[in-house]
Parts: sequence; C-alpha cells; structure tokens
Amino acid sequence: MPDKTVENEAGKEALKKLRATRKDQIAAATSRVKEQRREVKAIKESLADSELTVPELAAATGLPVDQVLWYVATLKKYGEILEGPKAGSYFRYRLGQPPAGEPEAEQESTN
Amino acid sequence: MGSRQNRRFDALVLGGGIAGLEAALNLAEQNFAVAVVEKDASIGGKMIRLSKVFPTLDCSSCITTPKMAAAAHHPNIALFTYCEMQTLERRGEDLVAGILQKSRYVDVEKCIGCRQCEYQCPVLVPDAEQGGFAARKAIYIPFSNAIPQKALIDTDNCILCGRCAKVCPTQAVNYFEQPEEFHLTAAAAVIATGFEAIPLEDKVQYGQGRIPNVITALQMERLLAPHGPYNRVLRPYDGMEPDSIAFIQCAGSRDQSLGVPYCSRVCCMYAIKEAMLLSGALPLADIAIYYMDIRAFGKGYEQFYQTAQAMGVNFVKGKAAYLDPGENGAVRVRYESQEATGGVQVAEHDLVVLSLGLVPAWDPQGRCLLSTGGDKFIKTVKPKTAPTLTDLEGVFVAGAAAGPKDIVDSIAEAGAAAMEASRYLSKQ
Ligand SMILES: Cc1cc2nc3c(=O)[nH]c(=O)nc-3n(C[C@H](O)[C@H](O)[C@H](O)COP(=O)(O)OP(=O)(O)OC[C@H]3O[C@@H](n4cnc5c(N)ncnc54)[C@H](O)[C@@H]3O)c2cc1C
Ligand code: SF4
Ligand code: SF4
Repeated sequence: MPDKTVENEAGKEALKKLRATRKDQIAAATSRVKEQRREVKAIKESLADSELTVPELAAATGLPVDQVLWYVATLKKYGEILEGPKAGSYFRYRLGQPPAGEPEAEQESTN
Repeated sequence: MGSRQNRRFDALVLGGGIAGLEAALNLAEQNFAVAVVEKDASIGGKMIRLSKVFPTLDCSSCITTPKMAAAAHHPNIALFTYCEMQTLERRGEDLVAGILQKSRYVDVEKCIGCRQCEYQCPVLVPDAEQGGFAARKAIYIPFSNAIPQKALIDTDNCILCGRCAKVCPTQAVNYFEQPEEFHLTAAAAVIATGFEAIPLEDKVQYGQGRIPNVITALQMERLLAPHGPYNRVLRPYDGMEPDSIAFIQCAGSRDQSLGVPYCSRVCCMYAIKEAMLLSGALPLADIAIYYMDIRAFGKGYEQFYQTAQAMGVNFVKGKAAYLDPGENGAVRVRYESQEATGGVQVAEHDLVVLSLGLVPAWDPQGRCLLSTGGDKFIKTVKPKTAPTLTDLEGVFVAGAAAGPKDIVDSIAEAGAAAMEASRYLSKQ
C-alpha cells in the first residue's frame, strides 16, 4: 500500500485507482451534488432580496415544499440562512453569513 | 480508546447504550477490566437521542452525557466504537467475541474533532440522527455530543473529491482504510444490545412512510430536542407550525397481524411525555392520543398521565386502523372508537406520530448459542429470581436486549447484571 497522504504522487495514484473502483457510486453521488447545488442556489437567489416562508420559497423556486424545508433546515444549521419573524403558521427565512471556510457553491473538483 | 488488536479483558459489555454503560461502569468500579463494544460511531444508545425523559422530564442528553464521558475516561474501560459484535462463543474458560471494526476512513488517534472536513465537504446527505429532516455531510461527526468526537466518511455518498484530506489539520483522513475483524476475549459478558423500532416502511396501513407528516416517535424526539433539525416543532412537509397533532398508540404492538404480539411497554409513557412537551412548545395546539388502554406502570407514572390529562391532552379510546393523506399535508386517521359514540370515525390532524412496536436490535441466531424467547428478545432463565441470567454460562443480559423497558428498569437491570458478572468473575 502506498503512502496514504493524498498530496504525494503515490497517494494521488492510489486515489485515482480507488476512484476507478467506486466509479458508479461516485457518478451517482456527483450528479446528486450538482442537483443540490442548483437547488441551493435557487433558494439563496430567491432569498437575496426578500424574506420568505417555506411554501413561498417552493413557489418561487418550483421545488417541492418538503425539499425546500430540508435545505432551509440544513442551511440554517450551517449559518447560511436565518429564521425571521412568523407569518401566520409559518416562519420567514432570510440569508445569513456563511461560516468562514465554507466553500462557495461554484467550486467543484471531483479529481 | 482500545486499539484494534485481539485483546483480553475481565468482562465484555456488548452494546454501549445506557444499560451497557451502567453495567460497564459498575464492573470497572470494582476494578475489572471492561471492553464496551458499540456498533454505532458514538456510545449512548437511544437515550442520547431523546429530548427529555419521563417521568421527571430531565433533559436526556444532560443526564446521559456524564455517563458516556465517565465510561470514556475510566481507566478500566476500553471503548470499541463503530464495532459490531458478530459472534460470541464459549471456548473452555473463555468467552470469545468476534468483532467487525467498520471503516471510518478517519484515524481516530489523529482526529481532533475540529469539523473542518465537514464544513468543506460538498455533499449533503439526509441525517438519520435528525430523523432525516436536515442534512449532514458525507464526512461528519455523528452529533454534537457524540463520544468519541471523531469524524467518519459515508462512502455511499462520498465523491472522493479530496477536500477533507486537504483541509484536515492532523492528516487524519485515510480513504484507504479497510474494515477489520478481530477478537476480544473475557471470562464474562453482558449483552446490552437494546432494541429497534419496527420500520415504518413495513406498515401498509400507516402509509409505509409515504404519507407526508406521518412520523415516528423517535423522529418526534428530534423535533422536540433543543438541537433538533428546526430548533422548534414544525411539520416536516412544509415548515408549518402544527395546530393539531395526534399520537397513534400500539402502532404495530399487541397485534399478531402486525408482527409484534406483545406490548412494547414504554410507548404509552413516551407518547404522554411527547404530548406534554408539545403542549409546552405549542400551547395553542390540540393534541390527541389514540389508545387501547394506557399502561402507566412505574413509580410516578400514573400521576404523569393525570398531569397530561389536566394539561388538556385529549385521550381518545380507539384503535387507529388506517391513515390517508388529507388536504394540504393533513393526515386523515380512521379509527374504531371505543367511546360512547362507537363505530368507525375519521379525524384530521396536521401531524401524526406513530408509537411503533419495539423489536430486538441483535439476533443471536447463527452467531451465538444464546437462546431467545418467543418474542425474539434474549431469554432469561430465571426471570423471577435472577432476571439477568441467560442460558450461556458467564453471559448476562441487561436493558432492552431482554425485552422493551424504560430507562429506570434498564439501569436497575444493568446494576444487577454487573453484580452477577462480578460474582461470577470472583469465583473464577
Ligand atoms: C421514542 C422513544 C422515547 C423514549 N422515551 C423514554 C423516556 O422518556 N424515559 C424512559 O425511561 N425511557 C424512554 N424510552 C425507552 C429507552 O429508550 C430505553 O429504556 C433505553 O434506551 C434502553 O437502553 P438499552 O441500553 O437497553 O438499549 P439501547 O438504547 O437500544 O442501546 C443498545 C446499544 O447497543 C448497540 N448494539 C446493538 N447491537 C449491537 C451489536 N451487534 N454490536 C455492538 N453494539 C450493538 C446499539 O447500537 C445501541 O447503542 C424511549 C424509547 C423510545 C423509542
Ligand atoms: S472526499 Fe468525500 S467526504 Fe471528503 S470532502 Fe470530498 S466528498 Fe466529502
Ligand atoms: S478528520 Fe480532520 S478535519 Fe475532520 S474533524 Fe477530524 S481532525 Fe478535524
């Protein structure tokens, strides 16, 4: 087994081999990641200049309402979305500051 | 933390839930060397995942975390996490457990739990520890008070992008780690493998998990927990604050046709607890519990039930037979009323919580000569006079591994199992 530090040449080669053995799984997960990025981007864009509830966000993005809530809960956990005031039986959400070190949605490298 | 070699101890404790931790601490305090084997990435079992506990309404994690920490720091206890007990056999004087160390892909000796990897990982995955209601990353620390605070990679979702390895300050990430089988040997063992709820997916009459806003009681625990997915109680379908919530008791218990003929014992009490916590969180909401009869069996439990009634929780005597999706995420409950009105009734609620039947988490069949009872839980050979004795010499059982039970009884039984094990070890 080569040295397992990903930084050196032997490590890089070993990682390439590992990627080849998990090819199908990585392809499926990568397409999920791409879809997640699109959907998160749509949610953030809709919140760029307004505070919205989950059903309003679903209407604005065309995404299923439960899927929107799943993203909102997740982005809230990582500080990217904040809970605002209540509107009827729903809460409104607005953009927060992403934590330091969080990668931008556009960055991607599967190699 | 134990190294992954074949090692010898005085006692093995199989399962790191509250029963296992209590048994391990009792044995360790008597100077026995103890190994705790836990299949999950953290110790703590179901209790660390609960919000508050009946009947005292103590914060569950506040009372579980100190026990977890005490076990982790005890000089006589070695923890083997993410390790599954596969076999247990007697070889002469010894008990030998076959253990599978699953791959974390993170070196636990190096990982400092800083979560830098988690922040950088680009993959979102439904977080089972939050009932699936929010996401975690493909590399993650199981939950905020997990012990040990060590990351692991979920290879089903990892895209091998290399970011976590790059950002890790201690070079702990190792994509090439392999699972490993090893043995632990001891003279005595305590089985504390606990329970699981029957999968909702198996229950056609409750919608098999496809009806929005039908959730399990363990998912409701997460909605009520201070570090839950929404930090408040919302409907998982659309984020609405529910106005009307129903609990369906014996959802799969006490019904041969549903596969669990026995009473799961703790469901009445935890449903009452969750109903009380909900009425605190959502004071204006209507809360109903559909029940066959309420089993408030323990000390202070009947009072707890009466307090819930006084708080306005509506106890509806009737067997809920079928659930349907209603308008706008509502759930229709069809039930056979056993009240004066009688007959089949239909009611609509914003959110429905199922008290699913409880089954054993570990089946010894083909792995160990331990017998199980008709209910498939570990058989106890002297249920009245020595309830922790099994039919395998030197092997004792504690907690929900022997049958569904609450925390108080699990802890009491764990103390008894440790005492039996200690007596057995002293005679060796
Ligand atoms: C929704 C809900 C709410 C509840 N609320 C309360 C409450 O408020 N108050 C109360 O008193 N009780 C409550 N209970 C009951 C409580 O959860 C149990 O009493 C308690 O968890 C039993 O502890 P245990 O250690 O026996 O089992 P568990 O908590 O199930 O722990 C068993 C451990 O063994 C591990 N394990 C299983 N198989 C293996 C294997 N092969 N190898 C290695 N490890 C293994 C598991 O991963 C787990 O960590 C509730 C239960 C439910 C479902
Ligand atoms: S290598 Fe896998 S676990 Fe690590 S950051 Fe990339 S996707 Fe996440
Ligand atoms: S694996 Fe590395 S980056 Fe991740 S928590 Fe451990 S030490 Fe931190």
